[in-house]
Amino acid sequence: MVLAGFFILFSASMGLLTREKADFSSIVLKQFVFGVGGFVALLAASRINYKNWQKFALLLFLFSFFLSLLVFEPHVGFGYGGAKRWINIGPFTFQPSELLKLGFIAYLASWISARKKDIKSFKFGLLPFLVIVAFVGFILIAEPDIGTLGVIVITSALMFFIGGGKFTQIAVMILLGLALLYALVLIKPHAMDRVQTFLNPSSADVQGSGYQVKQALIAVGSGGIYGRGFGMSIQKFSYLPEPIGDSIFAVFAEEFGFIGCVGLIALFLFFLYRGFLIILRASDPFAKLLGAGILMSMVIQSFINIGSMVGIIPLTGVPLIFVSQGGSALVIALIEIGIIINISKYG
Amino acid sequence: MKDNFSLRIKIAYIFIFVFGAVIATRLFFVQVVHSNDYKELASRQYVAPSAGYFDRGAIFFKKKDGQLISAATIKKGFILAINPKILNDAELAFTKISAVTQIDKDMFFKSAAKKSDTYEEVGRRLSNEEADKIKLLKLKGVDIYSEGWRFYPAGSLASRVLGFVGFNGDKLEGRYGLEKYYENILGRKEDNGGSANSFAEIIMDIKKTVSDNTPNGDIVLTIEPEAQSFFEESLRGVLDKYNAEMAGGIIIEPKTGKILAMASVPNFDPNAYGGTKDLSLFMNPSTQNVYEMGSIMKPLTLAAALDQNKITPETTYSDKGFVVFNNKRIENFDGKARGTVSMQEVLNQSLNTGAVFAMQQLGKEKFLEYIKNYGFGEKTGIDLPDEVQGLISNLNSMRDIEFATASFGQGIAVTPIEMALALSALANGGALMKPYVVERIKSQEGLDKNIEPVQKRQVLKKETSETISRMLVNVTDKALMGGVYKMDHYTIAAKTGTAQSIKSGGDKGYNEEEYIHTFFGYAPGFDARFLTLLYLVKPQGVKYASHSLSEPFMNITKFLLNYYQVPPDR
Repeated sequence: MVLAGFFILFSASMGLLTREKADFSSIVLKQFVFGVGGFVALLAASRINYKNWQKFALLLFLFSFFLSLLVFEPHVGFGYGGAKRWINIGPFTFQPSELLKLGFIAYLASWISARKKDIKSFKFGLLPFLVIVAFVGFILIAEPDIGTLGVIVITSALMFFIGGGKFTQIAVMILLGLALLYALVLIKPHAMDRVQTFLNPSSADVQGSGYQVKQALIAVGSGGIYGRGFGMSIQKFSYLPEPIGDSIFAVFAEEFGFIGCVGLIALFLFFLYRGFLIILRASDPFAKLLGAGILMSMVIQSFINIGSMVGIIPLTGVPLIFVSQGGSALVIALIEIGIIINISKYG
Repeated sequence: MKDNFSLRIKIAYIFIFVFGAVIATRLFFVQVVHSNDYKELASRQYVAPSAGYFDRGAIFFKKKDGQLISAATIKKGFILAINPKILNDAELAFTKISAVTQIDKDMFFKSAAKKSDTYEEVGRRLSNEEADKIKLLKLKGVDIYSEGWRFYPAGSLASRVLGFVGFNGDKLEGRYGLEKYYENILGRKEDNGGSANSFAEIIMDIKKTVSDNTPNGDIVLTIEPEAQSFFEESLRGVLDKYNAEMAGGIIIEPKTGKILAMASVPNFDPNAYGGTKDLSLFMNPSTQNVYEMGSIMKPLTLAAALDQNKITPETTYSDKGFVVFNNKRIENFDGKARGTVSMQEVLNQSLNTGAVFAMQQLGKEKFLEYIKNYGFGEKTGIDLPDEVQGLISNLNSMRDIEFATASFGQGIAVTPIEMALALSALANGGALMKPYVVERIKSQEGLDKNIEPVQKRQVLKKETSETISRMLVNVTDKALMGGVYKMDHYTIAAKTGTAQSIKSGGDKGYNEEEYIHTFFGYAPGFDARFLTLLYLVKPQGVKYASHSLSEPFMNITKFLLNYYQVPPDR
């Protein structure tokens, strides 16, 4: 766990430093405030007995669900860049889908652990599971936040699997998921655009949705084996959209090269490995599922972010855990780490 | 339940691990394999989105110690362009730019006057410093764009082998020589890179790495730059001295078929090929022209007869000075009769009647079989474009006169490269090799491909090769210009040839005053490291190849023996 902690500090500070040169000090300050706040939250979370999450799982889930609905309420909802994902709370904007992720994982963990005997059946296992996922899916599609939906769907499917789901059920789920995804891109112009870009990069409008992918790839590719060197990114200044947000991996890749990128991926995998060791030691099924869900969601989200930057997954708006600028994401991530720490202590 | 859980969590971990591995694979191709493409794209857009992007594989000469010397590469520079729409003060812009670099005044103002245009090029191939200085001027409506172009550092050296890159329609590609032959390896598709692709691209990348036909690569030549350079100088010397139309030749490694040098002069400068008026200079006569080679054919005729045990070096015949076939009279070069002479003397004195005698001993059918086995009338398969094959179809008539003249190198016309390979069989123990100019293809995806020597067939017995080599060494030691070129410590096998050139215009018959001089030789005589073939088209004021080509041949051979530090063999 010490190692995992070191990893967080390392990458968070790396993210901060990388950003420092890219943008104004106000952003550094803001991120710093979130960072400090996040660490306080981390400490608090690590002291809250994880069993409480089980008790309040449903409540938390419903609360986050409610918050997510708020983005559609014009007084507090806040649209940016073609998507409604934010709500205003005082001076800060908040992305409730981040909280929704945590709430959903906690609820799912408690739900699966409560029905581990029924999980293999269709009626009491798969069907209710799909209904829950569908609820969350509906709201995320409406926002739209397909990236987070992807994270949640993959994570929950894996949790369902770990929790004892049958292989055939998993297979059915994958097929169903693909069918839904297909239906989805047919309905949503925003998603359709990006899938088009993904499948057919040269024909798509270079200045439109293909632009970010193209610029990200140029940044990644021009990093070469060793990278341009720390702070030497050129792409981040004017070519790459959101250089400190979702595209931060591209900046990282340009500066640190292939070696740095593989190192980063290895760190994420190592983090997951250490995390899994902790939850394997836990005795409580809920703790196991909650821990596994949190860990997997974090790594999957990061990989989806990296994957879309290098063009193997359609572009989605999910941040790179610990590294991207984004207050709610950072705070939630740190709270999640706090939960893991607590599991390691008491589980 | 517990074990089940840990198993399932392991599977979940593997799933995510594979995800990470796929990303890492993709990163490898984007950042390591194709990194240069993206860097180029990046630098292009930092300057400006220009269409002048140009990339192409490199060509290298290979020195004897293995060092690679650039033969063709990419040079980078800048385009100076103006945007007439927003360029307000053309006078001021011109004055300021002129202080940095030379630009054409008329063209500049003509371009500047096209007010509806947004892009007019006014200067090309600017250096880095010039581009920087112009950027510092911060003139509104004056832009700098990067560009690249093909550059041949060695200028005209081996230009008729290398060829050049030019526009074919609106496509820039290799037009002649190696640039054309290896277009699929040297050429770079413009749309590669910059596009975000799916998993398909990862799979394609891996496939490219594993498979044999790598589209993107550099090539390394067998051509030795020092030897090539010395060779071209020697040829130029002969060309000037005898005011000939063309001088050309090949230096080949007889045992492998490797071309060490191949040249013909005059040649052209591929960096400025546009200035060449005579388009035939772009062709490579060593592979694309046929000549009647004259008496250098005689050793091939004699070797065939030796191989069938029909003659020995000591076999004698009665020389009347002429023979008659189909009412046509064939004479020796001087028309004189020599009485009873040996086969060795046939080579030493280059007697046409003796070559006819050897051919007759062999018989027409066998002779034709050997001619075909030597590779005449068949493309050698050298890796150069548009190779032609020798013309030997007149032998199909089976007329005696055709065979008689063919035995001493008249009436059949072959390419110099065919001739060089056939003669190599005399030197290398009787093997017909496939010639090649490129010995390695350096793949960008990682796996290099080495080209190995290929033996097409065995033409002569090993003993025949030794016997004919001994006879040809005797020619150099005793007969060539009276033996003045004999080297005390090296055996050199050689033979001259002089052929009347075919009348231009297609009439049958020969020009009395126009000749092609040929010369071949190899050294050391019994373990040949290199074989040199020279040809000189229409020399003036000199009748015999022994006078025109002996000295250049000896100079080249001495250079090679010294340069390659070949130990003495006698």
